[in-house]
Amino acid sequence: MISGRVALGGLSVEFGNARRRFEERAEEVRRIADEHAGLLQEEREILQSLAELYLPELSPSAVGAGLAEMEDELRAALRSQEVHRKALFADLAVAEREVAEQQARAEALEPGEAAAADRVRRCREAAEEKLSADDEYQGWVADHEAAMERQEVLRKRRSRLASASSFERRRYDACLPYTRLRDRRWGTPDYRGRLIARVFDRWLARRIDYEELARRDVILTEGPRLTHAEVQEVRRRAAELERLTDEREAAVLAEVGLGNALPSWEEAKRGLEVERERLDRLRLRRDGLVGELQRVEAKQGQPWQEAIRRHRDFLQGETISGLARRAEQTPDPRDDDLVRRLGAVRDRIETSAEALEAAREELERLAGRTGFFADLKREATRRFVQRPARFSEEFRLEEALGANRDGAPRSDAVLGRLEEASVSDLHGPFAHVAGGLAEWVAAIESSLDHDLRIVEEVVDETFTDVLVFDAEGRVVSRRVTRRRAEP
Amino acid sequence: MTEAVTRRVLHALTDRTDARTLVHEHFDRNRSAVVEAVRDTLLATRQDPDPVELQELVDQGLIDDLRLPDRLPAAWAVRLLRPGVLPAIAVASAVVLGALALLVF
Repeated sequence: MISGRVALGGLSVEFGNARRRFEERAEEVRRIADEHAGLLQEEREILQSLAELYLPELSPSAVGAGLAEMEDELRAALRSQEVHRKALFADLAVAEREVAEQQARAEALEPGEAAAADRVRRCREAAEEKLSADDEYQGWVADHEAAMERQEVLRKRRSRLASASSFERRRYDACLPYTRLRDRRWGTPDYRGRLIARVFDRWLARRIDYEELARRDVILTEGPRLTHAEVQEVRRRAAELERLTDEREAAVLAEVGLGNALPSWEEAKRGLEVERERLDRLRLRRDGLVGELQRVEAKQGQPWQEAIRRHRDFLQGETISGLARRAEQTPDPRDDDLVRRLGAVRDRIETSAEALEAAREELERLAGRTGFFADLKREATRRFVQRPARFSEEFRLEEALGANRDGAPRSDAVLGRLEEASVSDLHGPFAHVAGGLAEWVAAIESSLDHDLRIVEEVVDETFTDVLVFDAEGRVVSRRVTRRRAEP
Repeated sequence: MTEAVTRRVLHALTDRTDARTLVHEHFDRNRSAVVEAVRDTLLATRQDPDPVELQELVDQGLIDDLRLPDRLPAAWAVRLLRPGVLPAIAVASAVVLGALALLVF
Protein backbone atom coordinates (compact mmCIF):
# COMPACT_ATOMS: atom_id res chain seq x y z
CA MET A 1 0.00 0.00 0.00
CA ILE A 2 1.09 3.57 -0.59
CA SER A 3 -0.01 6.66 1.28
CA GLY A 4 -2.60 9.12 -0.02
CA ARG A 5 0.09 11.79 -0.22
CA VAL A 6 2.16 9.75 -2.64
CA ALA A 7 -0.81 8.37 -4.59
CA LEU A 8 -2.31 11.83 -5.10
CA GLY A 9 0.95 13.67 -5.62
CA GLY A 10 0.07 13.87 -9.32
CA LEU A 11 -2.85 16.20 -8.50
CA SER A 12 -0.35 18.97 -7.72
CA VAL A 13 1.20 18.43 -11.12
CA GLU A 14 -2.18 18.52 -12.85
CA PHE A 15 -3.12 21.68 -10.97
CA GLY A 16 0.23 23.28 -11.85
CA ASN A 17 -0.17 22.36 -15.52
CA ALA A 18 -3.72 23.72 -15.68
CA ARG A 19 -2.64 26.93 -13.98
CA ARG A 20 0.33 27.33 -16.36
CA ARG A 21 -1.91 26.86 -19.39
CA PHE A 22 -4.36 29.38 -17.98
CA GLU A 23 -1.62 31.95 -17.45
CA GLU A 24 -0.29 31.43 -20.96
CA ARG A 25 -3.74 31.93 -22.42
CA ALA A 26 -4.35 34.98 -20.19
CA GLU A 27 -1.12 36.50 -21.47
CA GLU A 28 -2.30 35.93 -25.03
CA VAL A 29 -5.67 37.55 -24.26
CA ARG A 30 -3.85 40.55 -22.80
CA ARG A 31 -1.71 40.84 -25.91
CA ILE A 32 -4.70 40.60 -28.28
CA ALA A 33 -6.70 43.09 -26.19
CA ASP A 34 -3.85 45.61 -26.27
CA GLU A 35 -3.54 45.13 -30.00
CA HIS A 36 -7.30 45.51 -30.37
CA ALA A 37 -7.28 48.77 -28.41
CA GLY A 38 -4.43 50.04 -30.57
CA LEU A 39 -6.32 49.20 -33.75
CA LEU A 40 -9.43 50.98 -32.50
CA GLN A 41 -7.32 54.04 -31.75
CA GLU A 42 -5.80 53.90 -35.25
CA GLU A 43 -9.29 53.62 -36.78
CA ARG A 44 -10.38 56.59 -34.70
CA GLU A 45 -7.47 58.71 -35.87
CA ILE A 46 -8.10 57.85 -39.53
CA LEU A 47 -11.75 58.72 -39.17
CA GLN A 48 -10.86 62.00 -37.53
CA SER A 49 -8.62 62.84 -40.50
CA LEU A 50 -11.44 61.93 -42.88
CA ALA A 51 -13.89 64.08 -40.90
CA GLU A 52 -11.57 67.06 -41.17
CA LEU A 53 -11.55 66.58 -44.95
CA TYR A 54 -15.26 66.07 -45.62
CA LEU A 55 -17.46 67.38 -42.85
CA PRO A 56 -18.43 71.01 -42.22
CA GLU A 57 -16.34 72.95 -39.80
CA LEU A 58 -18.28 72.10 -36.63
CA SER A 59 -18.72 68.43 -37.46
CA PRO A 60 -15.07 67.40 -37.26
CA SER A 61 -14.80 68.91 -33.83
CA ALA A 62 -18.01 67.14 -32.79
CA VAL A 63 -16.67 63.84 -34.09
CA GLY A 64 -13.34 64.58 -32.48
CA ALA A 65 -15.04 65.32 -29.17
CA GLY A 66 -16.97 62.07 -29.36
CA LEU A 67 -13.84 60.11 -30.16
CA ALA A 68 -11.92 61.84 -27.37
CA GLU A 69 -14.71 60.95 -24.95
CA MET A 70 -14.45 57.31 -26.03
CA GLU A 71 -10.72 57.42 -25.48
CA ASP A 72 -11.21 58.95 -22.04
CA GLU A 73 -13.64 56.18 -21.20
CA LEU A 74 -11.16 53.53 -22.26
CA ARG A 75 -8.42 55.15 -20.26
CA ALA A 76 -10.70 55.48 -17.22
CA ALA A 77 -11.64 51.83 -17.50
CA LEU A 78 -8.02 50.86 -17.71
CA ARG A 79 -7.19 53.11 -14.76
CA SER A 80 -9.93 51.61 -12.61
CA GLN A 81 -8.77 48.13 -13.51
CA GLU A 82 -5.23 49.07 -12.65
CA VAL A 83 -6.35 50.39 -9.25
CA HIS A 84 -8.33 47.25 -8.68
CA ARG A 85 -5.36 45.12 -9.77
CA LYS A 86 -3.03 46.89 -7.34
CA ALA A 87 -5.49 46.45 -4.51
CA LEU A 88 -5.80 42.77 -5.40
CA PHE A 89 -2.02 42.43 -5.47
CA ALA A 90 -1.79 43.93 -2.00
CA ASP A 91 -4.55 41.64 -0.69
CA LEU A 92 -2.95 38.66 -2.37
CA ALA A 93 0.42 39.37 -0.79
CA VAL A 94 -1.25 39.50 2.63
CA ALA A 95 -3.20 36.32 1.87
CA GLU A 96 -0.06 34.50 0.68
CA ARG A 97 1.74 35.51 3.85
CA GLU A 98 -1.15 34.34 6.01
CA VAL A 99 -1.30 31.01 4.14
CA ALA A 100 2.44 30.50 4.56
CA GLU A 101 2.27 31.33 8.27
CA GLN A 102 -0.73 29.09 8.78
CA GLN A 103 0.91 26.27 6.84
CA ALA A 104 3.99 26.58 8.99
CA ARG A 105 1.79 26.43 12.11
CA ALA A 106 0.01 23.32 10.82
CA GLU A 107 3.24 21.63 9.78
CA ALA A 108 4.77 22.39 13.15
CA LEU A 109 1.98 20.37 14.78
CA GLU A 110 2.31 17.40 12.43
CA PRO A 111 5.37 15.74 14.02
CA GLY A 112 3.74 15.93 17.45
CA GLU A 113 0.53 14.37 16.16
CA ALA A 114 2.45 11.65 14.29
CA ALA A 115 4.50 10.87 17.39
CA ALA A 116 1.35 10.70 19.54
CA ALA A 117 -0.34 8.42 16.97
CA ASP A 118 2.73 6.21 16.89
CA ARG A 119 2.74 6.04 20.68
CA VAL A 120 -0.92 4.97 20.70
CA ARG A 121 -0.22 2.36 18.02
CA ARG A 122 2.72 0.96 19.98
CA CYS A 123 0.60 0.84 23.15
CA ARG A 124 -2.15 -1.04 21.31
CA GLU A 125 0.32 -3.49 19.82
CA ALA A 126 1.86 -4.08 23.24
CA ALA A 127 -1.60 -4.59 24.74
CA GLU A 128 -2.58 -7.02 21.98
CA GLU A 129 0.64 -8.92 22.51
CA LYS A 130 0.05 -9.18 26.25
CA LEU A 131 -3.55 -10.25 25.80
CA SER A 132 -2.73 -12.85 23.16
CA ALA A 133 -0.25 -14.41 25.59
CA ASP A 134 -2.85 -14.42 28.38
CA ASP A 135 -4.42 -17.91 28.28
CA GLU A 136 -7.13 -17.02 30.78
CA TYR A 137 -8.20 -14.01 28.71
CA GLN A 138 -8.17 -16.07 25.49
CA GLY A 139 -10.30 -18.68 27.24
CA TRP A 140 -12.85 -16.01 28.21
CA VAL A 141 -12.93 -14.70 24.68
CA ALA A 142 -13.50 -18.19 23.26
CA ASP A 143 -16.19 -18.91 25.89
CA HIS A 144 -17.91 -15.63 25.14
CA GLU A 145 -17.98 -16.38 21.45
CA ALA A 146 -19.40 -19.85 22.11
CA ALA A 147 -21.99 -18.36 24.50
CA MET A 148 -23.16 -15.87 21.91
CA GLU A 149 -23.52 -18.60 19.30
CA ARG A 150 -25.37 -20.80 21.78
CA GLN A 151 -27.69 -17.94 22.70
CA GLU A 152 -28.59 -17.41 19.05
CA VAL A 153 -29.35 -21.13 18.57
CA LEU A 154 -31.45 -21.24 21.74
CA ARG A 155 -33.47 -18.16 20.86
CA LYS A 156 -34.49 -19.61 17.53
CA ARG A 157 -35.22 -23.00 19.13
CA ARG A 158 -37.40 -21.44 21.82
CA SER A 159 -39.46 -19.65 19.23
CA ARG A 160 -40.00 -22.77 17.08
CA LEU A 161 -40.62 -24.99 20.08
CA ALA A 162 -43.24 -22.65 21.53
CA SER A 163 -45.04 -22.59 18.21
CA ALA A 164 -44.98 -26.41 17.83
CA SER A 165 -45.94 -26.92 21.48
CA SER A 166 -49.14 -24.89 21.36
CA PHE A 167 -50.42 -27.00 18.47
CA GLU A 168 -49.13 -30.47 19.34
CA ARG A 169 -50.13 -30.50 23.00
CA ARG A 170 -53.78 -30.22 22.00
CA ARG A 171 -53.33 -33.33 19.86
CA TYR A 172 -51.68 -35.24 22.71
CA ASP A 173 -54.54 -34.24 25.03
CA ALA A 174 -57.05 -35.51 22.50
CA CYS A 175 -55.35 -38.90 22.03
CA LEU A 176 -57.37 -41.44 24.09
CA PRO A 177 -54.83 -44.31 24.41
CA TYR A 178 -52.15 -41.87 25.54
CA THR A 179 -54.32 -39.81 27.91
CA ARG A 180 -55.70 -42.99 29.54
CA LEU A 181 -52.22 -44.13 30.52
CA ARG A 182 -51.05 -40.62 31.41
CA ASP A 183 -54.06 -39.88 33.58
CA ARG A 184 -53.65 -43.17 35.40
CA ARG A 185 -49.94 -42.29 35.87
CA TRP A 186 -48.76 -45.47 34.18
CA GLY A 187 -45.14 -46.33 34.99
CA THR A 188 -45.09 -44.43 38.28
CA PRO A 189 -45.54 -45.62 41.86
CA ASP A 190 -48.88 -43.78 41.88
CA TYR A 191 -50.43 -46.13 39.31
CA ARG A 192 -53.45 -47.95 40.73
CA GLY A 193 -55.00 -50.72 38.65
CA ARG A 194 -56.48 -54.05 39.27
CA LEU A 195 -55.32 -57.21 37.58
CA ILE A 196 -57.31 -56.96 34.35
CA ALA A 197 -56.76 -53.19 34.00
CA ARG A 198 -53.04 -53.60 34.67
CA VAL A 199 -52.78 -56.33 32.00
CA PHE A 200 -54.71 -54.18 29.56
CA ASP A 201 -52.62 -51.05 30.28
CA ARG A 202 -49.37 -52.96 29.89
CA TRP A 203 -50.57 -54.22 26.54
CA LEU A 204 -51.69 -50.71 25.53
CA ALA A 205 -48.41 -49.06 26.62
CA ARG A 206 -46.50 -51.53 24.51
CA ARG A 207 -48.76 -51.00 21.50
CA ILE A 208 -48.50 -47.19 21.45
CA ASP A 209 -44.92 -46.93 22.79
CA TYR A 210 -46.14 -44.89 25.73
CA GLU A 211 -42.66 -44.11 27.07
CA GLU A 212 -41.64 -42.41 23.85
CA LEU A 213 -44.88 -40.42 23.65
CA ALA A 214 -44.52 -39.36 27.29
CA ARG A 215 -40.96 -38.24 26.61
CA ARG A 216 -42.10 -36.10 23.65
CA ASP A 217 -45.00 -34.69 25.66
CA VAL A 218 -42.66 -33.63 28.45
CA ILE A 219 -40.29 -31.94 25.98
CA LEU A 220 -43.16 -30.09 24.31
CA THR A 221 -44.60 -29.02 27.65
CA GLU A 222 -41.45 -28.02 29.46
CA GLY A 223 -39.15 -27.29 26.50
CA PRO A 224 -40.07 -23.62 25.87
CA ARG A 225 -39.73 -22.71 29.55
CA LEU A 226 -36.46 -24.58 29.99
CA THR A 227 -35.03 -23.16 26.77
CA HIS A 228 -35.96 -19.66 27.87
CA ALA A 229 -34.28 -20.28 31.22
CA GLU A 230 -31.17 -21.51 29.42
CA VAL A 231 -31.16 -18.38 27.22
CA GLN A 232 -31.20 -16.26 30.35
CA GLU A 233 -28.43 -18.33 31.89
CA VAL A 234 -26.27 -18.08 28.77
CA ARG A 235 -26.90 -14.34 28.60
CA ARG A 236 -25.83 -13.92 32.23
CA ARG A 237 -22.73 -15.97 31.55
CA ALA A 238 -21.88 -13.92 28.45
CA ALA A 239 -22.34 -10.67 30.41
CA GLU A 240 -20.05 -11.98 33.12
CA LEU A 241 -17.41 -12.95 30.53
CA GLU A 242 -17.71 -9.50 28.92
CA ARG A 243 -17.15 -7.87 32.26
CA LEU A 244 -14.10 -10.02 32.92
CA THR A 245 -12.57 -9.38 29.47
CA ASP A 246 -13.30 -5.63 29.69
CA GLU A 247 -11.65 -5.44 33.10
CA ARG A 248 -8.63 -7.38 31.89
CA GLU A 249 -8.33 -5.22 28.74
CA ALA A 250 -8.63 -2.03 30.78
CA ALA A 251 -5.97 -3.27 33.17
CA VAL A 252 -3.59 -4.22 30.35
CA LEU A 253 -4.18 -0.93 28.47
CA ALA A 254 -3.51 0.99 31.66
CA GLU A 255 -0.41 -1.11 32.26
CA VAL A 256 1.02 -0.30 28.80
CA GLY A 257 0.20 3.40 29.23
CA LEU A 258 -2.60 3.88 26.69
CA GLY A 259 -4.59 5.85 29.24
CA ASN A 260 -2.07 8.67 28.95
CA ALA A 261 -1.23 8.25 25.26
CA LEU A 262 -4.78 8.30 23.95
CA PRO A 263 -5.92 11.69 25.34
CA SER A 264 -2.70 13.35 24.19
CA TRP A 265 -3.17 11.90 20.69
CA GLU A 266 -6.79 13.07 20.60
CA GLU A 267 -5.73 16.52 21.68
CA ALA A 268 -2.91 16.67 19.10
CA LYS A 269 -5.24 15.46 16.36
CA ARG A 270 -7.90 18.00 17.29
CA GLY A 271 -5.36 20.83 17.33
CA LEU A 272 -4.00 19.79 13.94
CA GLU A 273 -7.48 19.58 12.43
CA VAL A 274 -8.32 23.08 13.67
CA GLU A 275 -5.13 24.48 12.13
CA ARG A 276 -5.75 22.64 8.85
CA GLU A 277 -9.31 23.89 8.62
CA ARG A 278 -8.02 27.42 9.16
CA LEU A 279 -5.42 26.80 6.46
CA ASP A 280 -8.12 25.58 4.06
CA ARG A 281 -10.16 28.73 4.65
CA LEU A 282 -7.12 30.94 4.02
CA ARG A 283 -6.24 29.01 0.86
CA LEU A 284 -9.81 29.36 -0.36
CA ARG A 285 -9.64 33.13 0.10
CA ARG A 286 -6.22 33.30 -1.59
CA ASP A 287 -7.45 31.23 -4.55
CA GLY A 288 -10.44 33.57 -4.91
CA LEU A 289 -8.11 36.58 -5.03
CA VAL A 290 -5.88 34.84 -7.56
CA GLY A 291 -8.87 34.08 -9.78
CA GLU A 292 -10.11 37.66 -9.65
CA LEU A 293 -6.64 39.00 -10.36
CA GLN A 294 -6.31 36.72 -13.36
CA ARG A 295 -9.62 37.96 -14.71
CA VAL A 296 -8.57 41.59 -14.25
CA GLU A 297 -5.20 40.95 -15.87
CA ALA A 298 -6.93 39.33 -18.81
CA LYS A 299 -8.97 42.58 -19.21
CA GLN A 300 -12.17 40.77 -18.72
CA GLY A 301 -13.49 43.34 -16.31
CA GLN A 302 -16.92 44.85 -16.87
CA PRO A 303 -15.74 48.53 -17.23
CA TRP A 304 -13.20 47.60 -19.90
CA GLN A 305 -15.66 45.52 -21.94
CA GLU A 306 -18.33 48.22 -21.67
CA ALA A 307 -15.89 50.90 -22.86
CA ILE A 308 -14.82 48.75 -25.83
CA ARG A 309 -18.45 48.08 -26.77
CA ARG A 310 -19.37 51.79 -26.69
CA HIS A 311 -16.27 52.63 -28.68
CA ARG A 312 -17.21 50.18 -31.41
CA ASP A 313 -20.85 51.31 -31.43
CA PHE A 314 -19.74 54.89 -31.89
CA LEU A 315 -17.36 54.03 -34.74
CA GLN A 316 -20.09 52.00 -36.48
CA GLY A 317 -22.70 54.75 -35.95
CA GLU A 318 -24.50 56.46 -38.83
CA THR A 319 -22.32 59.58 -38.90
CA ILE A 320 -19.08 57.63 -39.02
CA SER A 321 -20.48 55.10 -41.52
CA GLY A 322 -21.66 57.97 -43.76
CA LEU A 323 -18.28 59.61 -43.50
CA ALA A 324 -16.51 56.39 -44.53
CA ARG A 325 -18.91 55.84 -47.45
CA ARG A 326 -18.46 59.38 -48.65
CA ALA A 327 -14.68 59.11 -48.51
CA GLU A 328 -14.80 55.84 -50.48
CA GLN A 329 -17.12 57.29 -53.14
CA THR A 330 -15.34 60.65 -53.56
CA PRO A 331 -12.40 60.58 -56.00
CA ASP A 332 -10.07 62.77 -54.00
CA PRO A 333 -6.30 61.99 -54.00
CA ARG A 334 -6.03 63.40 -50.47
CA ASP A 335 -8.11 60.57 -48.95
CA ASP A 336 -6.86 57.58 -50.96
CA ASP A 337 -4.28 56.67 -48.40
CA LEU A 338 -6.72 57.24 -45.50
CA VAL A 339 -9.43 55.04 -47.11
CA ARG A 340 -6.92 52.28 -47.80
CA ARG A 341 -5.62 52.43 -44.24
CA LEU A 342 -9.20 52.46 -42.86
CA GLY A 343 -10.08 49.29 -44.83
CA ALA A 344 -6.89 47.57 -43.68
CA VAL A 345 -7.35 48.53 -40.03
CA ARG A 346 -10.98 47.41 -40.08
CA ASP A 347 -9.97 44.02 -41.49
CA ARG A 348 -7.41 43.68 -38.74
CA ILE A 349 -9.97 44.76 -36.12
CA GLU A 350 -12.33 42.07 -37.38
CA THR A 351 -9.61 39.41 -37.18
CA SER A 352 -8.49 40.67 -33.80
CA ALA A 353 -12.05 40.61 -32.44
CA GLU A 354 -12.52 37.00 -33.54
CA ALA A 355 -9.18 35.98 -32.05
CA LEU A 356 -10.03 37.81 -28.83
CA GLU A 357 -13.39 36.07 -28.59
CA ALA A 358 -11.86 32.63 -29.17
CA ALA A 359 -9.03 33.28 -26.72
CA ARG A 360 -11.49 34.43 -24.07
CA GLU A 361 -13.63 31.33 -24.51
CA GLU A 362 -10.53 29.18 -24.14
CA LEU A 363 -9.54 31.22 -21.12
CA GLU A 364 -12.90 30.61 -19.46
CA ARG A 365 -12.59 26.87 -20.10
CA LEU A 366 -9.10 26.85 -18.62
CA ALA A 367 -10.30 28.87 -15.64
CA GLY A 368 -12.93 26.18 -14.99
CA ARG A 369 -10.32 23.43 -15.33
CA THR A 370 -7.87 25.21 -13.01
CA GLY A 371 -10.63 25.75 -10.48
CA PHE A 372 -11.61 22.08 -10.73
CA PHE A 373 -8.08 20.92 -9.98
CA ALA A 374 -7.73 23.45 -7.16
CA ASP A 375 -10.97 22.20 -5.59
CA LEU A 376 -10.06 18.57 -6.18
CA LYS A 377 -6.59 19.01 -4.73
CA ARG A 378 -7.97 20.75 -1.66
CA GLU A 379 -10.69 18.14 -1.10
CA ALA A 380 -8.39 15.19 -1.84
CA THR A 381 -5.80 16.59 0.56
CA ARG A 382 -8.46 16.92 3.24
CA ARG A 383 -9.87 13.42 2.70
CA PHE A 384 -6.85 11.30 1.78
CA VAL A 385 -3.74 13.08 2.98
CA GLN A 386 -4.64 14.88 6.19
CA ARG A 387 -6.59 11.82 7.35
CA PRO A 388 -4.35 8.78 6.91
CA ALA A 389 -5.47 6.75 3.89
CA ARG A 390 -3.76 4.11 1.80
CA PHE A 391 -3.94 3.25 -1.86
CA SER A 392 -2.96 0.09 -3.65
CA GLU A 393 0.40 0.16 -5.40
CA GLU A 394 -1.60 -0.54 -8.57
CA PHE A 395 -3.52 2.72 -8.16
CA ARG A 396 -3.17 5.17 -11.07
CA LEU A 397 -4.35 8.77 -10.70
CA GLU A 398 -4.93 9.05 -14.46
CA GLU A 399 -7.55 6.30 -14.29
CA ALA A 400 -9.33 8.03 -11.40
CA LEU A 401 -9.42 11.32 -13.33
CA GLY A 402 -11.18 9.53 -16.20
CA ALA A 403 -10.87 9.81 -19.96
CA ASN A 404 -12.02 13.45 -20.21
CA ARG A 405 -8.78 14.91 -18.93
CA ASP A 406 -8.72 17.94 -21.24
CA GLY A 407 -12.04 19.19 -19.94
CA ALA A 408 -13.16 19.58 -16.37
CA PRO A 409 -14.43 16.20 -15.16
CA ARG A 410 -16.94 16.15 -12.34
CA SER A 411 -15.07 16.44 -9.07
CA ASP A 412 -17.61 14.34 -7.14
CA ALA A 413 -17.20 11.49 -9.64
CA VAL A 414 -13.42 11.65 -9.33
CA LEU A 415 -13.62 11.80 -5.53
CA GLY A 416 -15.96 8.81 -5.60
CA ARG A 417 -13.41 6.85 -7.60
CA LEU A 418 -10.68 7.90 -5.14
CA GLU A 419 -12.85 6.79 -2.21
CA GLU A 420 -13.28 3.39 -3.84
CA ALA A 421 -9.55 3.05 -4.40
CA SER A 422 -8.51 4.15 -0.92
CA VAL A 423 -8.30 2.18 2.30
CA SER A 424 -8.86 4.11 5.53
CA ASP A 425 -6.13 3.72 8.05
CA LEU A 426 -7.54 4.12 11.54
CA HIS A 427 -4.60 2.70 13.39
CA GLY A 428 -1.90 5.18 12.66
CA PRO A 429 0.07 6.30 9.68
CA PHE A 430 2.06 3.16 8.95
CA ALA A 431 -0.05 0.34 10.34
CA HIS A 432 -0.81 -1.39 7.04
CA VAL A 433 2.46 -0.77 5.31
CA ALA A 434 4.73 -3.72 5.45
CA GLY A 435 8.45 -4.32 5.33
CA GLY A 436 10.69 -2.36 2.99
CA LEU A 437 7.79 -0.49 1.45
CA ALA A 438 7.05 1.13 4.82
CA GLU A 439 10.58 2.47 4.96
CA TRP A 440 10.34 3.68 1.38
CA VAL A 441 7.08 5.52 2.04
CA ALA A 442 8.33 6.86 5.36
CA ALA A 443 11.47 8.20 3.69
CA ILE A 444 9.39 10.00 1.08
CA GLU A 445 6.84 11.36 3.52
CA SER A 446 9.43 12.68 5.91
CA SER A 447 11.47 14.47 3.25
CA LEU A 448 8.92 15.98 0.85
CA ASP A 449 6.32 18.65 0.51
CA HIS A 450 2.94 17.97 -1.05
CA ASP A 451 3.97 18.66 -4.65
CA LEU A 452 5.13 15.21 -5.64
CA ARG A 453 5.19 13.91 -9.17
CA ILE A 454 5.35 10.22 -9.94
CA VAL A 455 6.73 9.03 -13.27
CA GLU A 456 6.63 5.42 -14.32
CA GLU A 457 9.23 4.20 -16.81
CA VAL A 458 9.12 0.77 -18.40
CA VAL A 459 12.33 -1.12 -17.76
CA ASP A 460 11.46 -4.38 -19.52
CA GLU A 461 8.51 -6.72 -19.95
CA THR A 462 8.42 -7.59 -16.27
CA PHE A 463 9.46 -4.50 -14.32
CA THR A 464 8.86 -0.77 -14.32
CA ASP A 465 10.90 1.93 -12.69
CA VAL A 466 8.80 4.28 -10.53
CA LEU A 467 10.42 7.66 -10.00
CA VAL A 468 9.15 10.28 -7.57
CA PHE A 469 10.09 13.93 -8.24
CA ASP A 470 9.55 16.88 -5.95
CA ALA A 471 8.21 20.28 -7.01
CA GLU A 472 11.64 21.38 -8.25
CA GLY A 473 12.04 18.28 -10.43
CA ARG A 474 14.58 16.52 -8.22
CA VAL A 475 14.39 12.73 -8.03
CA VAL A 476 13.56 11.96 -4.42
CA SER A 477 12.86 8.28 -4.70
CA ARG A 478 13.21 5.46 -7.13
CA ARG A 479 11.69 2.04 -6.93
CA VAL A 480 11.51 -0.91 -9.31
CA THR A 481 8.13 -2.61 -9.26
CA ARG A 482 6.52 -5.49 -11.10
CA ARG A 483 4.36 -4.46 -14.05
CA ARG A 484 0.66 -5.04 -14.04
CA ALA A 485 -0.63 -7.75 -16.36
CA GLU A 486 -2.04 -6.34 -19.58
CA PRO A 487 -5.86 -6.66 -19.62
CA MET B 1 -46.57 -47.39 53.95
CA THR B 2 -42.81 -47.93 54.24
CA GLU B 3 -42.89 -49.97 51.09
CA ALA B 4 -44.67 -47.17 49.15
CA VAL B 5 -42.19 -44.54 50.31
CA THR B 6 -39.25 -46.73 49.36
CA ARG B 7 -40.77 -47.33 45.93
CA ARG B 8 -41.23 -43.58 45.33
CA VAL B 9 -37.69 -42.72 46.38
CA LEU B 10 -36.25 -45.41 44.13
CA HIS B 11 -38.40 -44.19 41.27
CA ALA B 12 -37.26 -40.58 41.76
CA LEU B 13 -33.62 -41.65 41.74
CA THR B 14 -33.91 -43.75 38.60
CA ASP B 15 -36.39 -41.49 36.80
CA ARG B 16 -35.46 -41.03 33.14
CA THR B 17 -38.20 -38.50 32.46
CA ASP B 18 -36.62 -35.43 34.11
CA ALA B 19 -37.62 -32.56 31.79
CA ARG B 20 -34.25 -30.82 31.74
CA THR B 21 -32.43 -34.06 30.91
CA LEU B 22 -34.95 -34.96 28.24
CA VAL B 23 -34.70 -31.57 26.53
CA HIS B 24 -30.92 -31.67 26.61
CA GLU B 25 -30.74 -35.22 25.29
CA HIS B 26 -33.21 -34.54 22.53
CA PHE B 27 -31.65 -31.36 21.19
CA ASP B 28 -28.03 -31.27 22.22
CA ARG B 29 -26.63 -34.74 22.81
CA ASN B 30 -24.72 -35.84 19.74
CA ARG B 31 -25.88 -32.69 17.99
CA SER B 32 -22.53 -31.94 16.37
CA ALA B 33 -22.38 -35.53 15.09
CA VAL B 34 -25.88 -35.20 13.65
CA VAL B 35 -25.07 -31.89 11.98
CA GLU B 36 -21.86 -33.32 10.55
CA ALA B 37 -23.69 -36.38 9.21
CA VAL B 38 -26.34 -34.22 7.53
CA ARG B 39 -23.67 -32.00 6.04
CA ASP B 40 -21.72 -34.97 4.69
CA THR B 41 -24.86 -36.42 3.19
CA LEU B 42 -25.76 -33.13 1.52
CA LEU B 43 -22.23 -32.76 0.20
CA ALA B 44 -22.40 -36.28 -1.20
CA THR B 45 -25.48 -35.23 -3.13
CA ARG B 46 -23.56 -32.23 -4.51
CA GLN B 47 -25.33 -29.70 -2.27
CA ASP B 48 -23.27 -27.25 -0.28
CA PRO B 49 -25.40 -26.09 2.65
CA ASP B 50 -24.77 -22.90 4.57
CA PRO B 51 -23.61 -23.82 8.14
CA VAL B 52 -26.21 -21.60 9.82
CA GLU B 53 -28.94 -22.93 7.58
CA LEU B 54 -27.81 -26.47 8.35
CA GLN B 55 -28.06 -25.87 12.12
CA GLU B 56 -31.57 -24.53 11.68
CA LEU B 57 -32.58 -27.48 9.49
CA VAL B 58 -31.41 -29.92 12.15
CA ASP B 59 -33.26 -28.00 14.89
CA GLN B 60 -36.44 -27.93 12.82
CA GLY B 61 -36.10 -31.67 12.18
CA LEU B 62 -35.73 -32.36 15.89
CA ILE B 63 -38.85 -30.32 16.65
CA ASP B 64 -40.83 -32.11 13.92
CA ASP B 65 -39.76 -35.36 15.54
CA LEU B 66 -41.82 -34.43 18.63
CA ARG B 67 -45.12 -34.44 16.79
CA LEU B 68 -47.76 -37.09 17.64
CA PRO B 69 -48.00 -39.84 14.99
CA ASP B 70 -51.17 -39.48 12.89
CA ARG B 71 -52.52 -43.01 13.38
CA LEU B 72 -51.96 -44.63 16.77
CA PRO B 73 -52.86 -48.35 17.19
CA ALA B 74 -55.25 -49.67 19.85
CA ALA B 75 -57.51 -46.64 20.00
CA TRP B 76 -60.48 -48.96 19.48
CA ALA B 77 -59.52 -50.99 22.57
CA VAL B 78 -59.62 -47.89 24.75
CA ARG B 79 -63.09 -47.04 23.53
CA LEU B 80 -64.23 -50.44 24.79
CA LEU B 81 -63.16 -49.54 28.30
CA ARG B 82 -65.43 -46.53 28.53
CA PRO B 83 -68.04 -46.83 31.37
CA GLY B 84 -71.05 -48.93 30.31
CA VAL B 85 -69.58 -50.24 27.09
CA LEU B 86 -68.38 -53.61 28.46
CA PRO B 87 -71.66 -54.33 30.35
CA ALA B 88 -73.62 -53.47 27.24
CA ILE B 89 -71.46 -55.87 25.20
CA ALA B 90 -71.91 -58.56 27.87
CA VAL B 91 -75.70 -58.14 27.89
CA ALA B 92 -75.85 -58.14 24.10
CA SER B 93 -73.68 -61.26 23.96
CA ALA B 94 -75.87 -62.99 26.57
CA VAL B 95 -78.97 -62.14 24.56
CA VAL B 96 -77.46 -63.45 21.36
CA LEU B 97 -76.24 -66.63 23.06
CA GLY B 98 -79.70 -67.15 24.66
CA ALA B 99 -81.41 -66.74 21.32
CA LEU B 100 -79.03 -69.20 19.69
CA ALA B 101 -79.63 -71.71 22.51
CA LEU B 102 -83.41 -71.48 22.03
CA LEU B 103 -83.04 -72.04 18.31
CA VAL B 104 -80.77 -75.04 18.76
CA PHE B 105 -82.58 -76.76 21.54
